[in-house]
Amino acid sequence: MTLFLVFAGLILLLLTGIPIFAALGLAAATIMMIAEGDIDGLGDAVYAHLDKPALATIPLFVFMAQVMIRAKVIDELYDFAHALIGHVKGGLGVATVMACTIFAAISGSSVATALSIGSSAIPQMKRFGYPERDALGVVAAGGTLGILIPPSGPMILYAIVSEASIGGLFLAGVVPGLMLAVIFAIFCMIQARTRTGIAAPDWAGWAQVARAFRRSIWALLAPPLVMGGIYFGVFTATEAAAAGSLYALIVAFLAGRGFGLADLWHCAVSAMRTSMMIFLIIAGAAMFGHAITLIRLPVGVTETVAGLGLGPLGFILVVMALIFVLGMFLESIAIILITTPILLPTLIGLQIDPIWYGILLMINLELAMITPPVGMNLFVIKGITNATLSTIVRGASPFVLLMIAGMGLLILFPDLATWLPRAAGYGR
Amino acid sequence: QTVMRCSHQLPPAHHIAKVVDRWAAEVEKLSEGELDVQVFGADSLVGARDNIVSTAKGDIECAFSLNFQWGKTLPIMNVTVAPFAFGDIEIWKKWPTSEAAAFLEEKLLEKGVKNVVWMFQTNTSVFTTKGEPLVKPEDFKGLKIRGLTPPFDAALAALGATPTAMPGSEVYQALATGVVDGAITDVAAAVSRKYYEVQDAFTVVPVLSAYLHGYLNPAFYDGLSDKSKEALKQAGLEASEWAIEASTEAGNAGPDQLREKGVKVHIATPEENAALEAVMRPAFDKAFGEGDADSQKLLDLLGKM
Amino acid sequence: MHGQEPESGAADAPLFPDRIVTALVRLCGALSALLILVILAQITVAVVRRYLLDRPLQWNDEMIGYLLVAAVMLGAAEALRRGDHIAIDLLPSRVGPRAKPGLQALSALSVIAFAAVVGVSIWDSIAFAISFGSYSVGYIEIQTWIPQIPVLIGCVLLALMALVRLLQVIRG
Ligand code: NA
Ligand code: NA
Repeated sequence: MTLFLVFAGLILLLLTGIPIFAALGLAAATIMMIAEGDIDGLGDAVYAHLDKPALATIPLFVFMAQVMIRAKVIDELYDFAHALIGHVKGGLGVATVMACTIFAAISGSSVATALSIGSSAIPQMKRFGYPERDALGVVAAGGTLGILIPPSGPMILYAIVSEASIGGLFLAGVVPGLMLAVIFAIFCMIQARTRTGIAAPDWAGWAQVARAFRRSIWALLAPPLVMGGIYFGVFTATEAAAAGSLYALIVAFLAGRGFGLADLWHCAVSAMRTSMMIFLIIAGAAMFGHAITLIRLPVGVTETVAGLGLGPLGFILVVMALIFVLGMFLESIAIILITTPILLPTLIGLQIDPIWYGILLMINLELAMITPPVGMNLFVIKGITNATLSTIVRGASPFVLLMIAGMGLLILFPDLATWLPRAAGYGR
Repeated sequence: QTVMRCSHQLPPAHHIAKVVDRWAAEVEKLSEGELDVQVFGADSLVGARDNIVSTAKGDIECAFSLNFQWGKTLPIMNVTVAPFAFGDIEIWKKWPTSEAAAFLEEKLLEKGVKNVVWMFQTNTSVFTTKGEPLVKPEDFKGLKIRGLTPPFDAALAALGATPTAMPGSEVYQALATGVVDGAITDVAAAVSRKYYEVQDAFTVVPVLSAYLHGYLNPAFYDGLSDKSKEALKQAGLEASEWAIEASTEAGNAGPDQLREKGVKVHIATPEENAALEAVMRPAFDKAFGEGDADSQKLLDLLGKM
Repeated sequence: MHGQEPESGAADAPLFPDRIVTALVRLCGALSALLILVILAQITVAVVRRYLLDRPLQWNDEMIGYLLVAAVMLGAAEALRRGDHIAIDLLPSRVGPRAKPGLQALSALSVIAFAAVVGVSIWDSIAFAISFGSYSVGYIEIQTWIPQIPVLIGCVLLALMALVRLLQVIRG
């Protein structure tokens, strides 16, 4: 009952259109006032959740992406994908998925991925006769790969809360991320064949592909640098974000792109603004988490779920369904911070691999970004196209089913996630 | 019924986290239900860094901290970090009713928290690395070792190692990839954090001691009935014994559990310990600050035990 | 997405509070962006020192935490000014033009309330921590209230910026 009241109250607050961080924080204050009669400890909760060195990866990865966008490195990436595969029917959709996949390996955020690929891919796809809905859907969904394919801001958060290894999680996301990308690409080909009026540009020839490849080489080299640095033990995750940023700056300044100090400042401000939006939601979620922990709501939910006497499989299915529902309303960072500490003891008790669970969670959080009413990628696409929310939702809905299918595969074949980190020596 | 919320930082599966749960149940039982003890582990309510202040302030009623969380706030709590000073388990058995403990409890109350239980956590540490176990002081030369606290890092530096700071969540990965060459940790933690997957040589040394202690907001404590206070006292004494049993068991089992994983485990001999102590102790004492009157008095009281 | 929103603080706005608050918020936003570059530089130095000089920067992580808190709290109001904070606009996009100012005022009020909650609560903590004399544990041993100060500043900035928004709605 309390559970229902708390979430119904939060949803009502969210629906009034006040900022998400304020809704979370005020819901927390209300719970505290009813339960305790004061708001002591909320400020400490905000401070404690922001004073975390690993969070520095968020502004640094956003900064890196901004530099690459502004230095036109991202445009070249899309051009390369386009030259390679744009001539096949549905190939533009595939090129979009490819560009998202590669950008996902640079950026730690799905919003940044959808944002940067969307602004160059959507106009192209529309130009070649794709229905608006299809174009919006593939960018919304392809963008979500940003958090599954490493690096990934949400994975880092999950690792901090669950004490799973960040490097291990990153590696675990590679195969499932590529798998989803392939599934998305196949779907794009099939979908394009059912549409009339999609024109494919002529094959540009290998010379053109080679030219596009040469131009995009800087973007293509970034993922091996960032991931390779972590894999071979040169950097920690935070340091890899800094190294990626420096790499992007070096490319921008030295590769003759007219990138100046003013551009650098613009990128820093952009990184600041995007990060602050995320960090304030983290602050609000910290307050909300503190308040519901204090009234022992999580304990109640855990005890209920644990009391169901489910085995590992049943538990995972119930938890994934629960997170899917939460994901409709809550932002992915809030979901990680709220659910992980609650579920962790049971996960450990049932001997569920926290890395495998983490990857399932990430796919579920990808879903959260494209399910209404609250979906970050839906908002981002709305922000760059002014399409109606319902068009975007309809375009993204087939991908919801595809991602659920992807989760099913991962539950049937856990090795898809756990093999690579094991091979690299990460046990947890 | 009075609700008493207790925050601590240990993960739920930790052997001392289980002692905390048992202590909570015992307090409830002995107070005949007057106290409803709610335990929030794993930093879930208040973070490790905030437990002390939040309890003193009264945001929560009760918390547990590892002694080194007191840092510069009450430096005397950290004497057990001195290399090789507290390896003897007999000290810990006599501890809860000793003059030394009473002296510390007085200092804690002056600072603003009422101590109710001492839980010995470890006196068995391991130095971990890849290759051959770190035994002699020379073995440490040039290695990057994950540091702990500034004075202990001074002791590591005296061995010729380079202490390297990093958050706990990064250590496993850093050891795996060689960002650092080794670490010092509690033997039970070396098992539970699976360091054996990324390190292959472990040296068991009684170099560090640590304890978790539970404390209450003084105003909250003063407002309790005599029955509740007696229940806290009784449960505190019992829990101290449980903690010694659990920690001894975990400490003894650790080396074998590590060997089962196929890594080299070397148990340092008294002579090897003495050689390490001769180098580490003077550096530690210098950095820790000798000559503090309170610390000296505590050391004297400990000497009498 | 950035840079397309209507900005507060146009030239015809009143000097007080609009333009003064806006200038202050912009300045702090710039400081926040600068802090991100400082963090980048500091990590670079830390890596270089570890590999090339074999002398790791022990206080690196603690300092990043402190800088991050400062960056967030200084930048939050600037993000508000630029309209970066995400809200669910299902209801606001459906109501008529007459109800819109009401919802905008509610949004500004909610931010003021949020800032008040966090501000009062952190003020309480800071005051207690000063009297208690607690120090951080680690390589930078400073009194724990010092790195909490930016939270207080950030709340004041957020509340001021939201207040300007509220006044603009009231003025129409
Ligand atoms: Na990514
Ligand atoms: Na959603």
